[in-house]
Amino acid sequence: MIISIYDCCSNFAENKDSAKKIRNELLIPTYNNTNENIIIDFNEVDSSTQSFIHALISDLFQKHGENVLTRIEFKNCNEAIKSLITTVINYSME
Amino acid sequence: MKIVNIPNSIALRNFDSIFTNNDFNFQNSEIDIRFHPSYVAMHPIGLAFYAALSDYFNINNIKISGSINYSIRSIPYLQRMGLFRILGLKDPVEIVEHEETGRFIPLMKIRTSEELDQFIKTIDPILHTSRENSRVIKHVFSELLRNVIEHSNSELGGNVCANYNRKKKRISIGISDAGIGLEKSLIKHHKISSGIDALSLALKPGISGKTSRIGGTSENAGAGLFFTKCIAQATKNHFLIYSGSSYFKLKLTPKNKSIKFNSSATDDYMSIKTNLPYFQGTLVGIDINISDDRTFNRLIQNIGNAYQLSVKKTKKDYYKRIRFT
Repeated sequence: MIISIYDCCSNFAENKDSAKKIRNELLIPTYNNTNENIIIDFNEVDSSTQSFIHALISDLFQKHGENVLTRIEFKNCNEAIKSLITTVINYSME
Repeated sequence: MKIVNIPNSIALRNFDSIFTNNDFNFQNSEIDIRFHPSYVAMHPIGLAFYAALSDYFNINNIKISGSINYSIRSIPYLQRMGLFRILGLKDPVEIVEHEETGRFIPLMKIRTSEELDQFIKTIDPILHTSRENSRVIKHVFSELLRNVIEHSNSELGGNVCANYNRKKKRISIGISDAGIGLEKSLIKHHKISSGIDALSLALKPGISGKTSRIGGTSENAGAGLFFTKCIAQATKNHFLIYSGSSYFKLKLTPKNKSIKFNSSATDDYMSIKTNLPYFQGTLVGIDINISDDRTFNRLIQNIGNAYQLSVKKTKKDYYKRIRFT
């Protein structure tokens, strides 16, 4: 499964409602109900906010811990987005 | 009749001027707004403040009138920023419209997530910024305005305005609402005994008004105000938040002191004032410098590390195990 962040949120990914929708309708069902790997693609996304990334992935890492790292891939992230993702994953791990 | 006196200068540095000759006790009064007779210089925090007062007047059916000295030189600026319009006063002068882009964002109302989306999209064309160097500005707008939408319970939404000093490459932002304020928002899940408690908690990483859990919920990390304060700190600028009867002001870090992103805001180079005139809602003002790519990337990383250390008390880093492709 490939999730394009640009398709839902344009070049600045900040809308937490969109993040929640992706999380609840795509990310969590795919993780829980299939064996598919998940690619979250940030192609064309310049920036995001900590709040958006938190709303998108924090829940998954809090519930499933390090196992998620084997199923999920973050594609086309710039350095700032990599920093945000790393921060959220680091503090979400129990 | 109650008088609101608008002083001749409102900035983050001298914010206390807003209280001069004002007690902001408006119960059952009609309001007459009086401008300083010679000159009014106003940071966007001042404009946002009066916009929130206007919301309060509207919610409580309080009538407003204004006494304006037409010779005040800054009237065109205040008019372009939308101050008279938002106060329900007639624009005092005829202004020949000219190219405004690259200078300011006049007072606007943001009520919903969709309006915020639209607003964020207008920033680059309005400020003539590039997508790369406006990332920090958008980050701040998004975090602060989402706080208003999600936590303020303001029936009239939030107010936002900004101006950009091209020479100094500095943007000054004011955001306000006439909602329930920090204390009422946080007290549902946290122990608060004073306005200082509310301000300190609001600025503490991992504290959210939606839960008592440190680190927030799946939707709220309790990081927005912390990130925003740190951005001001890292770019060596002021940040101020006023709610209820107290404000917190981040002062400029002295040149001989290193910048540290403290978990407790009271450890910052700052001032807190209490027993101020009661302000219904929340007001935030911030100055930030538009930084280049590398500075922004490093900034996000450093603030993120400070947040993690505060919330999880660990420096464990999964970076090498995360699959970035």
